[in-house]
Amino acid sequence: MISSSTSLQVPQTGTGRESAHRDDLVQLGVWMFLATVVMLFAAFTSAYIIRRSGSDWVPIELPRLLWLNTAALVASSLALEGGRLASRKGKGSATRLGLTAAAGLGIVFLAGQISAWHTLVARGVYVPTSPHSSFFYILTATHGVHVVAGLVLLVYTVTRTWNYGVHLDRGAPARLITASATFWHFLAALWLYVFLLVSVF
Amino acid sequence: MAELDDAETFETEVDATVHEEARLGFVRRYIFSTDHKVIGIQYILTGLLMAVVGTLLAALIRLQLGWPAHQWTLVGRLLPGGMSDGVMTPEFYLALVTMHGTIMVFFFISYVLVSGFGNYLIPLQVGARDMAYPFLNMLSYWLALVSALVMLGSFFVTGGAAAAGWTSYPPLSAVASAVPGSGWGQTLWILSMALFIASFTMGSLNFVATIFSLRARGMAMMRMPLTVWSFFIAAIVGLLAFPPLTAAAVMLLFDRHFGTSFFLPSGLVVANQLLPHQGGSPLLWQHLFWFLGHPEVYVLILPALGIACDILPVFTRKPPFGYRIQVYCLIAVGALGMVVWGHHMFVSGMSPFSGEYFTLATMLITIPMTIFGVNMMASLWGGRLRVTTPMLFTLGVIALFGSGGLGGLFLGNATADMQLHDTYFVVGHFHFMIGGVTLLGTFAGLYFWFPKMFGRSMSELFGKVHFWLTFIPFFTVFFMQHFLGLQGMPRRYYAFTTYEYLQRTSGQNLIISIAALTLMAAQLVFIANFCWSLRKGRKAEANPWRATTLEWTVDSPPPHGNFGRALPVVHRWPYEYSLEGSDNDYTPQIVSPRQAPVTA
Repeated sequence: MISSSTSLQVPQTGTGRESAHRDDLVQLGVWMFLATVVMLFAAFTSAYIIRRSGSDWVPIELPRLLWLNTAALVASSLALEGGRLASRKGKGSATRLGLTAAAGLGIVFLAGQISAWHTLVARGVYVPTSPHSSFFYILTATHGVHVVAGLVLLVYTVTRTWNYGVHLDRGAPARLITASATFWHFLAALWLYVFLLVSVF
Repeated sequence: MAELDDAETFETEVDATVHEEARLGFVRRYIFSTDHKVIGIQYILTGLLMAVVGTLLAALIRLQLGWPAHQWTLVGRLLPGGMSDGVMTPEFYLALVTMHGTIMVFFFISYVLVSGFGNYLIPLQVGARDMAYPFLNMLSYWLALVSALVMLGSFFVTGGAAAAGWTSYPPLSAVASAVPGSGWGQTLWILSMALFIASFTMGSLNFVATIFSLRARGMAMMRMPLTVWSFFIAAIVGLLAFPPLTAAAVMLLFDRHFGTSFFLPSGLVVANQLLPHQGGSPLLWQHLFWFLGHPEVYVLILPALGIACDILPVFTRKPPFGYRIQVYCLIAVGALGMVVWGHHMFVSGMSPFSGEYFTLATMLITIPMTIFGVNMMASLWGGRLRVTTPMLFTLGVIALFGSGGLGGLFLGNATADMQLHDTYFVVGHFHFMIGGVTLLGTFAGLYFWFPKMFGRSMSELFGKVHFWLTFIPFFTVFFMQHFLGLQGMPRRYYAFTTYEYLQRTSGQNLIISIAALTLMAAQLVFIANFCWSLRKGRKAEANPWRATTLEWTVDSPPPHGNFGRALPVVHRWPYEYSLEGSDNDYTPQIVSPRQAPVTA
């Protein structure tokens, strides 16, 4: 960054404001993006509540498998948190293990969700069968799309931690790990919310 | 450099990006660019091209209303789909009003005023080298372009473009067999809107993050120009209000293509066929749409007002009246704007209690808006007015904001709105506000920052001609439409002359059409001035208007990375004009307190 040809005095902190703010910027971006996802699901929720009061609302029986899927996603979140904590201590292999386990359990979750759809289809419950089933398919699909995005981010993070070696506790690797963790935990929480909405309300 | 003190040297930074520009090829520099200035100009040019399309659609609408059922042979040859024998079909008319609204709101004003000026100005005015996420910014533009192309493409599919109005109310928008435009045209409309929202969200993320985190040293929030404040509030509102329409769009797509019944009620008969849908609520779509739709008007109008507030001091040579109050008003309007959407739905059959709430909330929003407008007028008081082209358009903004705002008082009140709903009173009102305030604000901004963007000045003479040829016909058209509304003329009617009580409005509609076509023709003056000035305009110096904000401290056009080696350090608010104890009548934000006293 710093050219030696300049006569200007460049102090030790003179790496530029931009880079000093990078950490905040990435995290701020993630949180703002999550705010938009919250608003997206808030809209679905309000539609759900209004549509719920219709006389044609026939509740569908949700597949039991969803409980397993939920467990997989929660376990995935915990594994990721373990990986993140390991990265703070600079433990490269433990970090990668945690992240990989999280991604693997994420794939298990997605496979489980698709399997749950198959179960419903086998029972003759399709998208237009009842408003409840319509909402179930749309909410799980929308959540699933975000999970796919989260998986891409996780896999990217895993591959990057390889390159970074042991310096995982600060700078770009720490940013990346924190950002993926924030997003992934949010997705787990969002699923708990969606599950609660479609099964209780 | 000489005026840098020790503290400022700490901020000194040697910038590699300045040298980077030379290395970038043409494609990375001007096409797939991550430079906020290039992206801003890309947005502005795209938006202006879309405005041409939207204007031509308006011309066709006015042809039909001014000369109902007239046979336009030549136009018919150009548009065999909608006017095969020269006479417009009703279906085509509906597609015209739908696409005119959609294109002007989302693809002209949003692109030019918010995304265009926002991208160009925010980093320059807060003292940053670029947006917070430059790559996301580039992605945002290209998604926006695809979105615009999809919307334009919908004219060329079977059945033509969407025809359910820019609000896309179901069942018209949800049943593919309802009107020709409800087929593929509507599907593309929904897809295009989803892309638009994705693109706009990326842009808003950038706006907020840049303003939050990349301000230069000394640029406290309360030292930001009102332009930046207005973009900041608009971006936050956009981030929160736009995603819900994505949800609604998904549900509408499912209703259209997968047999669900989110918005389609039971017992609906279309083309003599009973539809299988049951139990859905068309009202639900209206709520979800207006949850985006109403905040959207603030997303568009706030930047126009912010830009107007920043141009005023330059040409009155005094600070704006009530800067802090203006900021608080912007925040209040942004917050209240999120909770008043129901005033578009007073006649929808929603509960009168909700209507009462939405009336009260809407009346509440007139308080900050009125303060804002009165402050703009007070900013003129005691100033030494220089009536340049940007200033003329800014004065036009104030005029339309005042006149249009008065109409809003009637429409925001449920009792009066029952009578006026969906009449030309509404059309006149929103064209004054979201059409006029934003249009004149856009022109004010274009004339004002053109020298900065392109390094040349636009012709003042043609600028003034353009202003008067725009303002007078514009005011005529939409002022008269208020009275059409009072006479009961409904909007979106293709053949109003079939109603006896409306036949006496034919003359008025003819005058409106002539004024509207004049207004459109006058824009040729602008286009000519714009194109001519790009190549032959007088070379602009760094600060041709003698203004104080940061963008005027760098070359015109600014270099890659904006600020050369060192980021600027801000010592004062952006409105130090006619300062006592200073030799100049203006003091840029970077001038240190040693050279001129600081007032704010």
